[in-house]
Amino acid sequence: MTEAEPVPQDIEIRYPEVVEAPRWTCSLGGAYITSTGVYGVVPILHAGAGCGIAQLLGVYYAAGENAAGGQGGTSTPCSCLIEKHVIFGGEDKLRKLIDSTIQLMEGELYVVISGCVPALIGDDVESVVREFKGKADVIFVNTAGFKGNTFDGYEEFLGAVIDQYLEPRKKKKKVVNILGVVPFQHVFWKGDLNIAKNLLAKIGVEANIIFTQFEGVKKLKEIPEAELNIVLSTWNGHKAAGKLKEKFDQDYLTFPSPPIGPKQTSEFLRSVAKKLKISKKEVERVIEEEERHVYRFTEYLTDAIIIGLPHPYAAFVGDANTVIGITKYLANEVGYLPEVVQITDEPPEEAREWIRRELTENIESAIKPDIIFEKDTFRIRENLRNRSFQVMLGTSLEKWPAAKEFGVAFLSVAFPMYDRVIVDRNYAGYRGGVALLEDLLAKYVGPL
Amino acid sequence: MAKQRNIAIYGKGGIGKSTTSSNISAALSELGLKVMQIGCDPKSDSTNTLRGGRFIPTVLDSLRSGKRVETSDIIHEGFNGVLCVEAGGPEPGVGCAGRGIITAIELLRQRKVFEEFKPDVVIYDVLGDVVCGGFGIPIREGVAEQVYTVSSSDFMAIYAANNLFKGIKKYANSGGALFSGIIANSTNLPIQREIIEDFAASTKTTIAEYVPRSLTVTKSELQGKTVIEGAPESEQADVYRVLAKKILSNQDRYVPAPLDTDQLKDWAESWSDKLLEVRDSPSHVKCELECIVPGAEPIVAKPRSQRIPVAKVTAPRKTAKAKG
Amino acid sequence: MTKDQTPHLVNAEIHLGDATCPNREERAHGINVYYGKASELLRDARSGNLKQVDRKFQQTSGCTLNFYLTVRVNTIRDAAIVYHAPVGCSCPSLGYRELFQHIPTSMGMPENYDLHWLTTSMNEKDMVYGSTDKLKATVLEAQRRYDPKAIFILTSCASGIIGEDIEGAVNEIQPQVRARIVPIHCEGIRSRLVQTGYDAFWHAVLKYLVKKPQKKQKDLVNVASMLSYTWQDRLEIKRLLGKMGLRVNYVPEFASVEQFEQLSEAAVTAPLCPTYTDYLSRGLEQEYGVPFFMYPSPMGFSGTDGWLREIGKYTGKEKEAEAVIAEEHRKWDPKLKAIQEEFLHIKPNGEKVEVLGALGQGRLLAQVPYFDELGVKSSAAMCQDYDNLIIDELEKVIQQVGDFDILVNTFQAAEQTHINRILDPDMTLTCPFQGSAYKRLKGVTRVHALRGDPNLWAQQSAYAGAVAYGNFLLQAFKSKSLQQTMKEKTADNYKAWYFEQDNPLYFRDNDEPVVS
Repeated sequence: MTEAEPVPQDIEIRYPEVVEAPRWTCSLGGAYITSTGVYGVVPILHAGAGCGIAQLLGVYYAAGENAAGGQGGTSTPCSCLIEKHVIFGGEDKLRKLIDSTIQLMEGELYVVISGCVPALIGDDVESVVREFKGKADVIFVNTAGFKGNTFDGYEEFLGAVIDQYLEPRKKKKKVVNILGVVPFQHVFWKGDLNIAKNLLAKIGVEANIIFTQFEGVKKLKEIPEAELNIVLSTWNGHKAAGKLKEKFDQDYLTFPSPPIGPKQTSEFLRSVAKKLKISKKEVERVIEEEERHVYRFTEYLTDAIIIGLPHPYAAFVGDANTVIGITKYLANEVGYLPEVVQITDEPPEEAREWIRRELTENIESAIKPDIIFEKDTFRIRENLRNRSFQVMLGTSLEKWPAAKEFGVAFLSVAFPMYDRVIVDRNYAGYRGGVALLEDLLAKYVGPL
Repeated sequence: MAKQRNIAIYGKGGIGKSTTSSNISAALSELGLKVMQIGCDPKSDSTNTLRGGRFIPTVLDSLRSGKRVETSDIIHEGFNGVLCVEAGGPEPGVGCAGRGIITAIELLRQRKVFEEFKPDVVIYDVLGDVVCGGFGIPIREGVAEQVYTVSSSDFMAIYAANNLFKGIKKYANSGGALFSGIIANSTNLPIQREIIEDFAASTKTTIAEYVPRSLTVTKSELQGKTVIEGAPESEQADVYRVLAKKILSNQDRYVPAPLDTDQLKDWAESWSDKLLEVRDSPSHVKCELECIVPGAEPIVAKPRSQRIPVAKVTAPRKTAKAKG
Repeated sequence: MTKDQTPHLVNAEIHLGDATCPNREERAHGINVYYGKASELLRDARSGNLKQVDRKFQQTSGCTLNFYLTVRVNTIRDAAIVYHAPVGCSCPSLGYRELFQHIPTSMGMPENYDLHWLTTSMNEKDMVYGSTDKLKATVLEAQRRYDPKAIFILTSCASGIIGEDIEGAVNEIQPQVRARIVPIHCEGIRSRLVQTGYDAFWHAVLKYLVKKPQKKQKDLVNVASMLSYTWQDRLEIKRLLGKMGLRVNYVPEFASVEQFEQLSEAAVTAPLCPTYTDYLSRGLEQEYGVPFFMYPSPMGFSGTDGWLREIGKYTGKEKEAEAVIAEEHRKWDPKLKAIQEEFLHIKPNGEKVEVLGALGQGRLLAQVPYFDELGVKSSAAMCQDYDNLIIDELEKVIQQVGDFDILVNTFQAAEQTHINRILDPDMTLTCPFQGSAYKRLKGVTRVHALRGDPNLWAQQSAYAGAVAYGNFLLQAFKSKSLQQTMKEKTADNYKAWYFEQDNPLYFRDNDEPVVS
């Protein structure tokens, strides 16, 4: 073969998983970061020494420069497997690690998460974990880096909890669980979940958001008490909801994303209320009060919107959950014209129909966006060329191309997000739309 | 309805475990039982003699295709309704066969294959060179409950069996499968039986059955059949039927006592000396020959003084064709 | 650095015919578990009694791939990386489009540049069947998309365990690819010490990139930097050497492939961190006769004096070196004095302030004497790992500042929190990610800044840096509200009984057979 041979251009067909900068981490990473979202859980990694730190650099920091907390980052217990373990097995090290972790680190639930190395050499993690029955609550997530990505890891963690830790409980009326928001991978997760919880509280519904709840392990055990599971995603959390249906006979209600802005939020509350048979009068009262407040406050923004850049063509890049909510809000309430939407988290085929519908039928603009499912950062950039958009909402991977190549105003709204610091900040609920506009308009407006 | 029996049969490559497993499966199916045989060897040929000599698509092949794996892709009916499954595995020199076994068995579980087909007996036919964790999967809790091993009196087979015992012992305390017996293959000569019996005694194990080497097996396999299918009236077929019945009724399981490296070496050396003694005895040679050419007379080496001088060479001799 | 090491201490030979280097354990008996006096460590090392032990309790600390090749190699400007790994291994590279973007063009940053990487996303099927075909296809794709000068292949635990034939794949595909393919063997499992990753990188650089010298550039100095040094450090070193009439070949961060090719033409290789640069330096000398020195590093005043003098020696610029040293001292001596004064007034009775640093080997050697210069005491120091490459330098440091306690561990947050509690220094320097070791009642600050930080106050190298960091330390003494508030109001990670133990290495595994 000589240098002149043309290089094949069909790698997307032969090896669709080969990709530049995919916006996720591996399955172990997903289970691990999810576990640190539950307060009271101590993750234990049965893996090489780099797996934990890699998530610190590539997920926690990428989720709005977050520290990983007392059990995350370099504090995470890890068996730090090396060559000798590959050859002779790592179960002994794991046993000592679990034992010493229970002695040293406070926790109500210890979650052993296995990585590529033990999966390849065939370590029997399950039997090692079982030795600790009676000494402490220890469960294990039988995963490996090569088995999937963050979203798979999220489902694996919940699956392990459901299978190994939850017992049936008497159901309580007007109690729900919220699924579908993946800690850290969905950058605004803390805000999104807490807003959902507060909103539902206003209509008398108690929401168990599992993550960021104090007494987190207690809340895990309470999962079977819910009368309904609410899934805020076209595809994340669906597996867990299915398992909960099977094991605890819990119904579930799905939404395309966490609601952003008044219209989506009112629709959300009405749907939940209907399902849970809550008095329409009560719900409408809450809705009216909230809408009145937020629309009056939106008026503070109208000068900036109209003089700054009315009806801009816009480009969106991000995961399904984030992008659907934001695109719909900006199109349906602020007059934005979505020109192209790129969904980066590779939802399964079943979800894509729904996503397309949300972004076309549920968009109130004459311009319906080009909807592209693309995970490759190089191609995402190519897809943005030769277009008319005047503003871009994406991830920090698009930030500098937006500035240097496309010359448009830009806001980071999805993973990875290295250029913002996110704690509570979010765009969910009634006031979320206004918050979004505060951040977005500042990028190109002023002085008026 | 009796509880599903899960049995793993291990054996060194080439020792006859697939032959044994397939014949057991066929024999059990004759008794009216629903049998599933799962081949756990990258060669993927465990169930060939239940399928007219044909290979079936493997579980891992289906995974490789990228499409969702349906049970119809991986479960194929063979002789007398025996359900055949092959785990599959990589080409020599690449990938990781051990991981392949782990993946294949996980997939079968995920697809709820046992719930769907409800076999009475599941037989795992596993490569006996248990070189890494993956090949130990069938011994682990939740897979097989009883393990048999096929072994001849050859040292390599015994070495592999001893390794297997180590593996069983390791998992014994965590609910793993326990041992139920050695299936002594190709033990036509008394000395061969003695060797295996001694090995069994040394490792506190039992012999499940003696299966002689037989041309009937070879003949049937060449036709792509088990003996049960290809020569159902033969003595060999009955041997397998007896073995199958024994396996069915035997619920005994125990922890073997493997020999450590030095002990095994000493044991082997002691037998090696004995073997040299036996080899040169006439009765032994007659026995050996009987297996190959029934009715033949042994040519015993005459002492030097009695040998016919080789000098005269006349017409080329016709070599007698062996019958049978 | 001794070049004629006693054979049993250091395996100093470089075999570029091999696919990769030996790991640090093999090369220099590296360890990352130790607690005791530095003099004891030295004694054990010299007598060959230094043993690596295992821990029963261990925390994640980085591997040969992920500390820090994922980011380091990615900054090479006209190259691309192919990770032959499951998708999680490469996620630290997700910041690649923002690296260095905060450095203005006025400071020498080009207006437009692109960095690139691809992952083969190894999956279940690949584990069973192997995936060198995919690797080859990915390399071809990298060539097609980016037309880079070099394509680095970084390996992983997964690719290593299943025995992927990387070299075979590279040999097959190189004729079709214009870029130079550079495979780096950085499987996470191959070593306990993250330093092996650096050696593996340099081995690949020496083997595949460095070219036979076309000519000798007598005024070129190779400097290999770590990501923990900032852009300003780079500029400052360039400036100082520029004054001596010398140019700097600054690798690997943000270098071009051509710069690597020219490493063989330089007059000398100078260190910022000795053990980091060791393999490269030895290789360049062995193959191309480029001399090197390992000590001192340009940290602190006397360290920088020594560094400039060494460089002067190898480039025939002794006089120029002295001139620069004199000029810099004139400018910065008063500032250093002011800092030293302030330090003396922090504690009553002119007692020296105690600083505990979490450091790599290079910083251990450079920072301990530097702190001495500032008038600050390091009765104890933490070090990520120790190996015999620095055995003589460690001895010199002990001679200079006296004996000290040393805790060798790679980021083990529990042990670091423990030693902070029992030694209770006035100031603790945390490398980023030290978990909650920062929650304490006394001083806390960082050891170093982010690489993309363009600010002058983030400098650490040379005289300007010595003053900048000195001021930085002084700042840290002026408030404790962050760490005190957090200590008071948030929970401890570790149970109280642990802090009552004498030894931070409580969980040392005494049952496991000792490994060398």
